[in-house]
Amino acid sequence: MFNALEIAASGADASQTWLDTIAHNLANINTVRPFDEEPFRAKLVHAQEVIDGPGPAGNGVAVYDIVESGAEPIVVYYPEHPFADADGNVTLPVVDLAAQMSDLIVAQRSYQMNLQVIRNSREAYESALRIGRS
Amino acid sequence: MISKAVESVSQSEQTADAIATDIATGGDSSIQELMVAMTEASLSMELLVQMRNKAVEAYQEIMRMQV
Repeated sequence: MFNALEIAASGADASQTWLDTIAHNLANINTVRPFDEEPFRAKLVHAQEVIDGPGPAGNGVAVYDIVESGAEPIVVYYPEHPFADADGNVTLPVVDLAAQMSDLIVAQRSYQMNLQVIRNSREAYESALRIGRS
Repeated sequence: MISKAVESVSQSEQTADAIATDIATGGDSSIQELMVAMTEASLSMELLVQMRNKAVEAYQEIMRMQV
């Protein structure tokens, strides 16, 4: 019955997943793995439009998948490191701190934006319920 | 019509209740989910109250009719 609320809630849910993912990436920014293993790669949220449902245009958004960053890892020379290979090189985790921090701002604003939609649609429904009252 | 509305209010309140229990017991429901469910429940309740008011108003109008 209250489509706008449900749709905005789906957006808030997706933004929440994005925030959680950024938290995970930032928490692992120093996670170095042994040289014979794949380095930690930043996770990215793959969102998709939801078409099925009662909404006339669509029914919000859903997290379709969580994929890994395909960026080249940075290799540094650090022979004292316990995880260095025979040449003394260490592969750093693939997390771009600046990109993650700016994504964090966007994710937070996107969450707040969806909550604002919830607030405004609630006000609209409340006004509709006051129709005919003096 | 009123009984259908009562059913729908009861259902939305049960949904909100289930999510609240899930959060309180450490489930993976989110707070925004709970708040939206509670908002929906309160809007449904308000809708029911308005429907009842209109029905009572119409009934009283008819009772006041002179025959």
